Amino acid sequence: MVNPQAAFGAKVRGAAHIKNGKPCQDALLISTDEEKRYFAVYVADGHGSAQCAYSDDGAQVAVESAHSVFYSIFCENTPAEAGELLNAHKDIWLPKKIESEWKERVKKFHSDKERMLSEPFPFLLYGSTLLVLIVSDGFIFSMQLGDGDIVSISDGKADWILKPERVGVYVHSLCLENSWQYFRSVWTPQPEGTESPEMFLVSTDGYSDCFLSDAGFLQAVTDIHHLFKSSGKEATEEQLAHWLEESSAAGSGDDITLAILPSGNIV
Amino acid sequence: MSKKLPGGEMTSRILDFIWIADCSGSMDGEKIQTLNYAIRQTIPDMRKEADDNPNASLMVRAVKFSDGASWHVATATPIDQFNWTDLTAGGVTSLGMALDLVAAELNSFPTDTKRLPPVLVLLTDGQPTDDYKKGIDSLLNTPWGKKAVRIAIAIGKDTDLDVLGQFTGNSELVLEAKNPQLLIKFIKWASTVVKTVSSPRAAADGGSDAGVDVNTIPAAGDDDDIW
Repeated sequence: MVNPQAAFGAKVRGAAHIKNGKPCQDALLISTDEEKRYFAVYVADGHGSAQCAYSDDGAQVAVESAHSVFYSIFCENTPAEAGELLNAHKDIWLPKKIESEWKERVKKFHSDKERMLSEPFPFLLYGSTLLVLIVSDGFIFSMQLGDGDIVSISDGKADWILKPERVGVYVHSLCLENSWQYFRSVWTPQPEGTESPEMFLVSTDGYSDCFLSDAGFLQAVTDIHHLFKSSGKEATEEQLAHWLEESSAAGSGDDITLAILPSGNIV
Repeated sequence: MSKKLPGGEMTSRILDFIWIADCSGSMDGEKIQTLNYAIRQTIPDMRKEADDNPNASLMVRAVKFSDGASWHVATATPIDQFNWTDLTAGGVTSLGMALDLVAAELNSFPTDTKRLPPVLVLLTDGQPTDDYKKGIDSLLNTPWGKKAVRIAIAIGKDTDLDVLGQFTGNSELVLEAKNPQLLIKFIKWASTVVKTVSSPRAAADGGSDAGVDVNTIPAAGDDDDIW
Protein backbone atom coordinates (compact mmCIF):
# COMPACT_ATOMS: atom_id res chain seq x y z
CA MET A 1 0.00 0.00 0.00
CA VAL A 2 1.14 3.51 -0.74
CA ASN A 3 -0.09 5.44 2.32
CA PRO A 4 0.19 8.77 0.48
CA GLN A 5 0.76 12.04 2.31
CA ALA A 6 -0.20 15.58 1.40
CA ALA A 7 1.63 16.88 -1.64
CA PHE A 8 3.42 20.21 -1.82
CA GLY A 9 5.13 22.10 -4.57
CA ALA A 10 6.33 25.35 -6.08
CA LYS A 11 5.91 27.22 -9.32
CA VAL A 12 8.47 29.80 -10.47
CA ARG A 13 8.72 32.17 -13.39
CA GLY A 14 11.52 31.24 -15.77
CA ALA A 15 14.72 33.27 -15.94
CA ALA A 16 14.20 33.93 -19.65
CA HIS A 17 10.59 34.96 -19.01
CA ILE A 18 11.72 37.45 -16.36
CA LYS A 19 14.27 38.86 -18.80
CA ASN A 20 11.73 39.10 -21.63
CA GLY A 21 8.83 40.34 -19.48
CA LYS A 22 6.69 37.23 -20.03
CA PRO A 23 4.43 35.85 -17.32
CA CYS A 24 4.77 32.40 -15.79
CA GLN A 25 2.78 30.07 -18.04
CA ASP A 26 2.72 27.05 -15.71
CA ALA A 27 -0.14 26.07 -13.41
CA LEU A 28 -0.21 23.84 -10.34
CA LEU A 29 -3.15 22.47 -8.39
CA ILE A 30 -2.81 20.08 -5.46
CA SER A 31 -5.90 18.51 -3.97
CA THR A 32 -7.31 15.84 -1.75
CA ASP A 33 -10.79 14.94 -0.51
CA GLU A 34 -12.12 15.62 2.97
CA GLU A 35 -11.36 12.10 4.17
CA LYS A 36 -7.88 12.21 2.60
CA ARG A 37 -8.55 8.99 0.74
CA TYR A 38 -6.56 10.15 -2.26
CA PHE A 39 -4.05 12.85 -3.13
CA ALA A 40 -3.81 14.49 -6.53
CA VAL A 41 -1.33 16.72 -8.33
CA TYR A 42 -2.26 18.55 -11.54
CA VAL A 43 0.45 20.41 -13.46
CA ALA A 44 0.11 22.23 -16.78
CA ASP A 45 2.56 24.09 -18.98
CA GLY A 46 1.19 26.75 -21.34
CA HIS A 47 3.12 26.79 -24.60
CA GLY A 48 4.01 30.47 -24.42
CA SER A 49 4.76 30.98 -28.10
CA ALA A 50 3.45 33.98 -30.01
CA GLN A 51 0.55 31.88 -31.35
CA CYS A 52 -0.43 30.89 -27.79
CA ALA A 53 -0.89 34.33 -26.26
CA TYR A 54 -3.25 33.17 -23.48
CA SER A 55 -1.49 29.92 -22.66
CA ASP A 56 -0.99 30.96 -19.03
CA ASP A 57 -4.79 31.05 -18.76
CA GLY A 58 -5.01 27.81 -20.72
CA ALA A 59 -2.69 26.09 -18.24
CA GLN A 60 -4.74 27.29 -15.27
CA VAL A 61 -7.95 26.12 -16.92
CA ALA A 62 -6.25 22.77 -17.64
CA VAL A 63 -5.48 22.00 -14.00
CA GLU A 64 -8.95 23.13 -12.92
CA SER A 65 -10.64 21.05 -15.62
CA ALA A 66 -8.72 17.92 -14.70
CA HIS A 67 -9.39 18.48 -11.01
CA SER A 68 -13.09 18.85 -11.71
CA VAL A 69 -13.25 15.57 -13.64
CA PHE A 70 -11.31 13.52 -11.09
CA TYR A 71 -12.87 15.16 -8.03
CA SER A 72 -16.36 14.19 -9.13
CA ILE A 73 -15.21 10.59 -9.65
CA PHE A 74 -13.83 10.47 -6.12
CA CYS A 75 -16.87 12.15 -4.60
CA GLU A 76 -19.21 9.61 -6.15
CA ASN A 77 -17.21 6.43 -5.56
CA THR A 78 -15.19 4.60 -2.95
CA PRO A 79 -11.43 4.65 -3.61
CA ALA A 80 -11.58 1.05 -4.82
CA GLU A 81 -14.43 1.82 -7.21
CA ALA A 82 -12.73 5.01 -8.36
CA GLY A 83 -9.54 3.08 -9.03
CA GLU A 84 -11.44 0.57 -11.14
CA LEU A 85 -13.15 3.36 -13.05
CA LEU A 86 -9.86 5.11 -13.80
CA ASN A 87 -8.34 1.88 -15.03
CA ALA A 88 -11.36 1.02 -17.17
CA HIS A 89 -11.71 4.47 -18.74
CA LYS A 90 -8.14 5.77 -18.85
CA ASP A 91 -7.72 5.38 -22.62
CA ILE A 92 -10.88 6.89 -24.07
CA TRP A 93 -13.60 8.23 -21.78
CA LEU A 94 -11.31 10.05 -19.33
CA PRO A 95 -9.14 11.87 -21.89
CA LYS A 96 -12.23 12.74 -23.92
CA LYS A 97 -13.92 14.10 -20.79
CA ILE A 98 -10.86 16.19 -19.87
CA GLU A 99 -10.50 17.55 -23.41
CA SER A 100 -14.16 18.55 -23.60
CA GLU A 101 -14.13 20.03 -20.08
CA TRP A 102 -11.05 22.12 -20.94
CA LYS A 103 -12.50 23.32 -24.23
CA GLU A 104 -15.83 24.30 -22.67
CA ARG A 105 -14.13 26.14 -19.84
CA VAL A 106 -11.71 27.89 -22.21
CA LYS A 107 -14.62 29.10 -24.33
CA LYS A 108 -16.42 30.44 -21.27
CA PHE A 109 -13.23 32.05 -19.96
CA HIS A 110 -12.64 33.69 -23.35
CA SER A 111 -16.18 34.99 -23.42
CA ASP A 112 -16.06 36.24 -19.82
CA LYS A 113 -12.89 38.16 -20.63
CA GLU A 114 -14.62 39.63 -23.70
CA ARG A 115 -11.73 38.59 -25.90
CA MET A 116 -12.10 38.69 -29.65
CA LEU A 117 -14.12 35.80 -31.05
CA SER A 118 -13.42 34.00 -34.29
CA GLU A 119 -14.52 30.82 -36.01
CA PRO A 120 -13.37 28.16 -35.49
CA PHE A 121 -12.64 28.93 -31.86
CA PRO A 122 -8.90 29.70 -31.50
CA PHE A 123 -8.00 27.05 -28.92
CA LEU A 124 -4.34 27.39 -29.98
CA LEU A 125 -4.26 30.72 -28.09
CA TYR A 126 -4.72 28.72 -24.87
CA GLY A 127 -2.50 25.72 -25.74
CA SER A 128 -1.25 23.77 -22.76
CA THR A 129 0.09 20.40 -21.69
CA LEU A 130 -1.31 18.47 -18.72
CA LEU A 131 0.18 16.12 -16.15
CA VAL A 132 -1.94 14.25 -13.61
CA LEU A 133 -0.83 12.10 -10.68
CA ILE A 134 -3.37 10.54 -8.33
CA VAL A 135 -2.24 8.35 -5.48
CA SER A 136 -4.50 6.37 -3.22
CA ASP A 137 -3.72 3.54 -0.82
CA GLY A 138 -4.75 1.02 -3.43
CA PHE A 139 -3.43 2.44 -6.70
CA ILE A 140 -1.25 4.95 -8.51
CA PHE A 141 -2.67 6.69 -11.56
CA SER A 142 -0.66 8.89 -13.94
CA MET A 143 -1.86 10.66 -17.02
CA GLN A 144 0.09 12.90 -19.38
CA LEU A 145 -0.50 15.00 -22.46
CA GLY A 146 2.63 16.57 -23.89
CA ASP A 147 5.98 16.97 -22.20
CA GLY A 148 6.93 17.07 -18.54
CA ASP A 149 8.00 14.41 -16.09
CA ILE A 150 6.18 12.13 -13.66
CA VAL A 151 8.72 10.22 -11.61
CA SER A 152 8.64 7.84 -8.66
CA ILE A 153 11.39 6.72 -6.30
CA SER A 154 11.65 3.19 -4.98
CA ASP A 155 14.62 1.88 -2.98
CA GLY A 156 16.34 5.21 -3.55
CA LYS A 157 16.18 4.80 -7.34
CA ALA A 158 14.27 7.32 -9.46
CA ASP A 159 12.53 6.43 -12.69
CA TRP A 160 9.76 7.77 -14.88
CA ILE A 161 6.26 6.35 -14.40
CA LEU A 162 5.48 7.47 -17.93
CA LYS A 163 8.35 7.68 -20.39
CA PRO A 164 8.81 11.37 -21.18
CA GLU A 165 7.86 12.73 -24.56
CA ARG A 166 10.80 14.44 -26.27
CA VAL A 167 9.82 15.46 -29.76
CA GLY A 168 11.76 18.64 -30.32
CA VAL A 169 9.97 21.97 -30.20
CA TYR A 170 6.47 20.64 -30.77
CA VAL A 171 4.43 19.17 -28.01
CA HIS A 172 1.05 17.47 -27.80
CA SER A 173 -1.52 19.87 -26.46
CA LEU A 174 -5.07 20.22 -25.20
CA CYS A 175 -5.68 22.73 -27.98
CA LEU A 176 -5.40 20.08 -30.70
CA GLU A 177 -8.47 18.63 -32.33
CA ASN A 178 -9.12 15.23 -30.71
CA SER A 179 -6.32 15.84 -28.27
CA TRP A 180 -7.67 12.92 -26.22
CA GLN A 181 -5.86 10.61 -28.64
CA TYR A 182 -2.49 11.85 -27.44
CA PHE A 183 -3.02 11.28 -23.72
CA ARG A 184 -0.91 8.53 -22.20
CA SER A 185 -1.72 6.95 -18.86
CA VAL A 186 -0.66 4.25 -16.44
CA TRP A 187 -2.74 2.71 -13.67
CA THR A 188 -0.83 0.59 -11.18
CA PRO A 189 -2.65 -1.37 -8.44
CA GLN A 190 -1.02 -1.31 -5.02
CA PRO A 191 -2.65 -4.06 -2.98
CA GLU A 192 -1.65 -4.61 0.62
CA GLY A 193 1.81 -6.12 0.87
CA THR A 194 3.03 -4.41 -2.33
CA GLU A 195 6.38 -2.62 -2.23
CA SER A 196 5.24 0.90 -3.06
CA PRO A 197 7.28 3.94 -4.09
CA GLU A 198 8.58 6.25 -1.38
CA MET A 199 7.98 9.49 -3.23
CA PHE A 200 6.52 10.89 -6.45
CA LEU A 201 7.55 14.03 -8.32
CA VAL A 202 5.70 15.83 -11.07
CA SER A 203 7.43 18.63 -12.97
CA THR A 204 7.15 20.69 -16.12
CA ASP A 205 9.84 20.18 -18.77
CA GLY A 206 11.47 23.42 -17.65
CA TYR A 207 13.09 21.43 -14.84
CA SER A 208 14.42 18.40 -16.71
CA ASP A 209 15.60 20.73 -19.50
CA CYS A 210 17.96 22.40 -17.02
CA PHE A 211 20.19 19.37 -16.92
CA LEU A 212 22.87 18.32 -19.36
CA SER A 213 21.44 14.80 -19.39
CA ASP A 214 18.49 12.74 -18.19
CA ALA A 215 20.80 11.21 -15.60
CA GLY A 216 21.34 14.68 -14.16
CA PHE A 217 17.59 15.17 -13.83
CA LEU A 218 17.09 11.80 -12.13
CA GLN A 219 19.95 12.72 -9.80
CA ALA A 220 17.99 15.86 -8.84
CA VAL A 221 15.01 13.70 -7.96
CA THR A 222 17.10 11.44 -5.73
CA ASP A 223 18.83 14.46 -4.14
CA ILE A 224 15.42 15.92 -3.24
CA HIS A 225 14.37 12.55 -1.89
CA HIS A 226 17.48 12.39 0.31
CA LEU A 227 16.91 15.88 1.62
CA PHE A 228 13.30 15.08 2.41
CA LYS A 229 14.37 11.98 4.30
CA SER A 230 17.11 13.75 6.23
CA SER A 231 15.56 17.18 6.82
CA GLY A 232 11.82 16.67 6.48
CA LYS A 233 9.02 18.28 4.56
CA GLU A 234 9.31 21.82 5.94
CA ALA A 235 13.00 22.19 5.09
CA THR A 236 12.43 20.80 1.61
CA GLU A 237 9.41 23.00 0.98
CA GLU A 238 11.27 26.06 2.23
CA GLN A 239 14.08 25.65 -0.30
CA LEU A 240 12.07 24.44 -3.26
CA ALA A 241 11.25 27.74 -4.95
CA HIS A 242 14.83 28.95 -4.55
CA TRP A 243 16.19 25.77 -6.16
CA LEU A 244 13.82 26.09 -9.06
CA GLU A 245 14.66 29.76 -9.66
CA GLU A 246 18.39 29.05 -9.54
CA SER A 247 17.98 26.02 -11.80
CA SER A 248 16.02 28.00 -14.36
CA ALA A 249 18.73 30.67 -14.39
CA ALA A 250 21.51 28.10 -14.76
CA GLY A 251 19.65 25.90 -17.23
CA SER A 252 16.51 26.02 -19.31
CA GLY A 253 15.37 29.59 -18.59
CA ASP A 254 11.86 28.20 -18.68
CA ASP A 255 9.15 28.40 -16.02
CA ILE A 256 9.43 25.48 -13.63
CA THR A 257 6.75 23.77 -11.60
CA LEU A 258 7.63 20.90 -9.30
CA ALA A 259 5.26 19.02 -7.01
CA ILE A 260 6.33 16.39 -4.50
CA LEU A 261 4.03 13.72 -3.15
CA PRO A 262 5.65 11.65 -0.40
CA SER A 263 4.29 8.33 0.74
CA GLY A 264 4.27 6.81 4.21
CA ASN A 265 6.90 4.33 3.03
CA ILE A 266 9.56 7.03 3.01
CA VAL A 267 9.92 7.04 6.81
CA MET B 1 19.68 27.46 2.36
CA SER B 2 21.41 24.71 0.41
CA LYS B 3 24.60 25.75 -1.35
CA LYS B 4 24.39 23.08 -4.01
CA LEU B 5 21.38 22.69 -6.22
CA PRO B 6 19.90 19.20 -6.53
CA GLY B 7 20.89 17.15 -9.53
CA GLY B 8 23.67 16.78 -12.05
CA GLU B 9 25.41 19.29 -14.26
CA MET B 10 23.20 22.08 -15.56
CA THR B 11 23.51 23.78 -18.89
CA SER B 12 21.74 26.03 -21.28
CA ARG B 13 20.55 24.14 -24.31
CA ILE B 14 22.66 24.08 -27.45
CA LEU B 15 21.15 25.52 -30.61
CA ASP B 16 23.13 24.51 -33.69
CA PHE B 17 22.80 26.78 -36.71
CA ILE B 18 24.36 25.63 -39.99
CA TRP B 19 24.64 27.65 -43.20
CA ILE B 20 24.84 25.34 -46.24
CA ALA B 21 26.10 27.50 -49.10
CA ASP B 22 26.28 26.77 -52.81
CA CYS B 23 29.62 27.95 -54.26
CA SER B 24 29.19 26.54 -57.76
CA GLY B 25 30.29 28.51 -60.81
CA SER B 26 26.81 29.88 -61.46
CA MET B 27 26.97 31.68 -58.11
CA ASP B 28 29.93 33.73 -59.29
CA GLY B 29 29.58 37.50 -59.26
CA GLU B 30 26.70 39.31 -57.63
CA LYS B 31 25.08 36.20 -56.14
CA ILE B 32 28.05 35.10 -54.05
CA GLN B 33 28.86 38.70 -53.16
CA THR B 34 25.33 39.28 -51.91
CA LEU B 35 25.35 36.00 -49.99
CA ASN B 36 28.62 36.94 -48.26
CA TYR B 37 27.34 40.43 -47.49
CA ALA B 38 24.00 39.23 -46.13
CA ILE B 39 25.42 36.51 -43.88
CA ARG B 40 27.90 38.98 -42.45
CA GLN B 41 25.05 41.41 -41.81
CA THR B 42 23.11 38.80 -39.80
CA ILE B 43 25.86 38.37 -37.21
CA PRO B 44 24.98 41.38 -34.99
CA ASP B 45 21.28 40.42 -35.04
CA MET B 46 22.05 36.83 -34.13
CA ARG B 47 24.27 38.02 -31.29
CA LYS B 48 21.40 40.12 -30.00
CA GLU B 49 18.99 37.18 -30.17
CA ALA B 50 21.52 35.12 -28.23
CA ASP B 51 21.87 37.86 -25.62
CA ASP B 52 18.10 38.00 -25.22
CA ASN B 53 17.97 34.30 -24.49
CA PRO B 54 20.93 33.34 -22.33
CA ASN B 55 19.44 29.89 -21.81
CA ALA B 56 20.23 28.77 -25.34
CA SER B 57 23.83 28.58 -26.57
CA LEU B 58 23.78 29.52 -30.23
CA MET B 59 26.59 27.68 -32.07
CA VAL B 60 27.18 28.44 -35.74
CA ARG B 61 29.04 26.62 -38.48
CA ALA B 62 28.95 26.54 -42.27
CA VAL B 63 29.28 24.06 -45.13
CA LYS B 64 30.23 25.04 -48.70
CA PHE B 65 29.66 22.92 -51.76
CA SER B 66 30.70 23.04 -55.41
CA ASP B 67 32.91 20.25 -56.90
CA GLY B 68 32.68 18.59 -53.52
CA ALA B 69 31.60 19.66 -50.06
CA SER B 70 33.61 20.75 -47.06
CA TRP B 71 33.23 22.67 -43.84
CA HIS B 72 33.74 26.38 -44.31
CA VAL B 73 33.42 26.84 -40.55
CA ALA B 74 34.08 23.39 -39.14
CA THR B 75 33.97 24.08 -35.42
CA ALA B 76 30.68 24.90 -33.76
CA THR B 77 31.41 28.52 -32.91
CA PRO B 78 29.56 30.57 -30.29
CA ILE B 79 27.85 33.42 -32.13
CA ASP B 80 29.77 36.05 -30.17
CA GLN B 81 33.01 34.62 -31.65
CA PHE B 82 31.63 33.93 -35.10
CA ASN B 83 33.01 35.78 -38.11
CA TRP B 84 32.29 35.25 -41.78
CA THR B 85 35.09 34.68 -44.28
CA ASP B 86 33.93 35.37 -47.82
CA LEU B 87 33.18 32.41 -50.07
CA THR B 88 34.26 32.29 -53.68
CA ALA B 89 32.44 30.49 -56.50
CA GLY B 90 33.50 27.90 -59.08
CA GLY B 91 32.66 24.31 -59.99
CA VAL B 92 29.53 22.16 -59.98
CA THR B 93 26.69 21.71 -57.44
CA SER B 94 27.42 18.78 -55.11
CA LEU B 95 24.40 19.29 -52.87
CA GLY B 96 24.14 15.60 -51.94
CA MET B 97 27.70 15.61 -50.59
CA ALA B 98 26.97 18.73 -48.54
CA LEU B 99 23.90 17.15 -46.97
CA ASP B 100 25.86 13.94 -46.25
CA LEU B 101 28.40 16.08 -44.42
CA VAL B 102 25.71 17.76 -42.33
CA ALA B 103 24.00 14.41 -41.63
CA ALA B 104 27.27 12.91 -40.35
CA GLU B 105 27.74 15.88 -38.03
CA LEU B 106 24.19 15.70 -36.65
CA ASN B 107 24.62 11.96 -36.13
CA SER B 108 27.64 12.63 -33.94
CA PHE B 109 25.61 14.62 -31.39
CA PRO B 110 25.36 12.72 -28.11
CA THR B 111 21.80 11.42 -27.86
CA ASP B 112 21.29 12.19 -24.17
CA THR B 113 22.24 15.87 -24.27
CA LYS B 114 19.58 18.57 -24.17
CA ARG B 115 19.73 20.31 -27.52
CA LEU B 116 17.22 22.43 -29.33
CA PRO B 117 16.31 21.42 -32.88
CA PRO B 118 19.12 22.53 -35.20
CA VAL B 119 18.48 25.22 -37.81
CA LEU B 120 19.74 24.35 -41.30
CA VAL B 121 19.68 27.06 -43.95
CA LEU B 122 20.43 25.97 -47.52
CA LEU B 123 21.37 28.63 -50.08
CA THR B 124 21.60 27.53 -53.71
CA ASP B 125 21.00 28.80 -57.22
CA GLY B 126 21.06 25.68 -59.32
CA GLN B 127 20.32 22.05 -59.89
CA PRO B 128 22.25 19.41 -57.98
CA THR B 129 24.87 17.60 -60.06
CA ASP B 130 25.28 14.66 -57.69
CA ASP B 131 22.96 12.22 -55.92
CA TYR B 132 21.11 14.83 -53.84
CA LYS B 133 18.38 12.32 -52.90
CA LYS B 134 20.91 10.21 -51.01
CA GLY B 135 22.01 13.31 -49.11
CA ILE B 136 18.44 14.25 -48.19
CA ASP B 137 17.75 10.68 -47.08
CA SER B 138 20.92 10.63 -44.96
CA LEU B 139 19.88 13.87 -43.31
CA LEU B 140 16.29 12.86 -42.64
CA ASN B 141 17.42 9.50 -41.30
CA THR B 142 19.25 11.18 -38.43
CA PRO B 143 17.13 12.01 -35.36
CA TRP B 144 18.30 15.63 -35.32
CA GLY B 145 18.03 16.04 -39.09
CA LYS B 146 14.39 15.02 -38.88
CA LYS B 147 13.72 17.47 -36.04
CA ALA B 148 15.73 20.30 -37.59
CA VAL B 149 14.19 23.51 -38.84
CA ARG B 150 15.11 23.27 -42.53
CA ILE B 151 14.91 26.41 -44.63
CA ALA B 152 15.95 26.71 -48.28
CA ILE B 153 16.63 29.91 -50.16
CA ALA B 154 16.52 29.58 -53.93
CA ILE B 155 18.77 32.19 -55.51
CA GLY B 156 17.55 33.23 -58.95
CA LYS B 157 15.08 31.49 -61.20
CA ASP B 158 17.02 28.38 -62.27
CA THR B 159 16.82 26.54 -58.95
CA ASP B 160 15.03 23.22 -58.76
CA LEU B 161 12.32 24.09 -56.24
CA ASP B 162 11.18 20.48 -56.01
CA VAL B 163 14.59 19.48 -54.67
CA LEU B 164 14.44 22.27 -52.11
CA GLY B 165 10.93 21.21 -51.10
CA GLN B 166 12.26 17.71 -50.42
CA PHE B 167 14.95 19.24 -48.24
CA THR B 168 12.60 21.44 -46.18
CA GLY B 169 9.62 19.06 -46.13
CA ASN B 170 7.45 22.17 -46.32
CA SER B 171 7.05 24.25 -49.48
CA GLU B 172 6.40 27.37 -47.39
CA LEU B 173 9.99 27.20 -46.18
CA VAL B 174 11.37 27.34 -49.73
CA LEU B 175 12.01 31.05 -50.31
CA GLU B 176 12.57 32.34 -53.82
CA ALA B 177 15.10 35.15 -53.89
CA LYS B 178 14.79 36.58 -57.35
CA ASN B 179 17.01 39.54 -56.76
CA PRO B 180 19.74 40.71 -54.36
CA GLN B 181 17.35 42.67 -52.13
CA LEU B 182 15.20 39.60 -51.53
CA LEU B 183 18.24 37.42 -50.91
CA ILE B 184 19.37 39.80 -48.17
CA LYS B 185 15.87 39.92 -46.66
CA PHE B 186 15.50 36.13 -46.68
CA ILE B 187 18.93 35.48 -45.21
CA LYS B 188 18.21 37.96 -42.43
CA TRP B 189 14.82 36.36 -41.81
CA ALA B 190 16.32 32.87 -41.70
CA SER B 191 18.79 34.01 -39.07
CA THR B 192 15.91 35.21 -36.84
CA VAL B 193 14.41 31.73 -36.71
CA VAL B 194 16.78 31.07 -33.80
CA LYS B 195 14.46 33.23 -31.70
CA THR B 196 11.54 30.88 -32.30
CA VAL B 197 13.54 27.74 -31.80
CA SER B 198 15.34 28.96 -28.69
CA SER B 199 12.19 30.09 -26.91
CA PRO B 200 11.74 27.92 -23.84
CA ARG B 201 8.33 26.92 -25.11
CA ALA B 202 7.52 27.17 -28.76
CA ALA B 203 4.43 25.79 -30.38
CA ALA B 204 1.66 23.33 -30.29
CA ASP B 205 -0.05 22.23 -33.41
CA GLY B 206 2.05 19.24 -34.37
CA GLY B 207 3.39 20.55 -37.67
CA SER B 208 6.72 19.80 -39.24
CA ASP B 209 8.19 23.29 -39.36
CA ALA B 210 9.27 23.29 -35.70
CA GLY B 211 7.29 26.35 -34.77
CA VAL B 212 8.49 28.71 -37.50
CA ASP B 213 5.93 31.41 -38.12
CA VAL B 214 5.72 31.52 -41.92
CA ASN B 215 3.64 34.70 -41.69
CA THR B 216 6.83 36.57 -40.77
CA ILE B 217 8.61 35.62 -44.01
CA PRO B 218 9.32 38.86 -45.93
CA ALA B 219 6.99 39.38 -48.87
CA ALA B 220 8.51 39.17 -52.35
CA GLY B 221 7.01 42.54 -53.28
CA ASP B 222 6.85 43.95 -56.78
CA ASP B 223 10.57 44.07 -57.43
CA ASP B 224 11.51 43.04 -60.93
CA ASP B 225 13.22 39.69 -61.25
CA ILE B 226 16.80 40.28 -62.18
CA TRP B 227 18.39 36.85 -61.63
